[in-house]
Amino acid sequence: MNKPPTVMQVLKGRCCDHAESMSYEIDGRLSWPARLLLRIHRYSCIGCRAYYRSLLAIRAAARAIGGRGAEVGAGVKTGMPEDAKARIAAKLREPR
Amino acid sequence: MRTEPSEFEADDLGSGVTHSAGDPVRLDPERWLENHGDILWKMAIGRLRNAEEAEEVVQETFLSALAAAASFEGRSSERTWLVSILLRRVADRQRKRYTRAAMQTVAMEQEFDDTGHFVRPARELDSSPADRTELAKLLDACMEKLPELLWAAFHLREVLGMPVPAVCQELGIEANNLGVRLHRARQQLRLCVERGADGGEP
Repeated sequence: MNKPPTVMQVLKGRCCDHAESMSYEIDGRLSWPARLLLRIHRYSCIGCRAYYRSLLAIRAAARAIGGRGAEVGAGVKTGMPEDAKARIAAKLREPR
Repeated sequence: MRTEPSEFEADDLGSGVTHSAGDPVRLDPERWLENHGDILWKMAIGRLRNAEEAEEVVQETFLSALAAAASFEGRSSERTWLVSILLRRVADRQRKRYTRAAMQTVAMEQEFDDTGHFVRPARELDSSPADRTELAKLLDACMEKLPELLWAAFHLREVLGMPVPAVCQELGIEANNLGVRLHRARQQLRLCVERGADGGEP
């Protein structure tokens, strides 16, 4: 599947298809009928329910990593520090 | 001698950005730092966790790109090309740092049975605040093992929290391509974190 699934694809899908659909779902790229069908499927499917909660847990953990960006150095979220830019610009201006 | 990614390879990274045959992308080295410096930096420091090394890698990327500029034919975007060079440089550094165990990918066939259902229910990862720190440590270790292209997509989208259109723009790929990468990254990370949470090697 290389694009978000349609309602029919979700309706006819199996867990292996739903795994990918759920990834699109947490990125907000599923239509609301498709989301509704997935939610209904999760009520009855313990595997997909656990899978979905794990994806949400991974997202929360990833955001926690992003939130402690200051620990690993300046510019993790804001971009390259100005002094680093100046040094690189000077290097690029050197004759080769 | 190091060779920089061909445009074919660069297209692998960002095939979503297409240009009409009559309108090839032209390089603009004078503005590389201004146009691409920040995103290259974010990716380098996110992967290497060291400001000094990140700066070196960004600089090396620009210098390598300048040296290989003659071979750039404009079939992929400038950013896609630069990002692909950067990711290779970062991978080289990481290989020098330590020997990485290859990401143990569990094939879909192993995770799902013939009917397409889970062979065994996924272990439910706890996202309660108390366990989130532990989970974040595991995830951090698992992210180190992701292939570069999947790592880049996951890092920008989930760690930095960038919206999908912004990630697509930064990586020079289409949303559908990003969706596939994110799915694969999440799938590999989930399995890796699950192993770690069970007391195994993440």
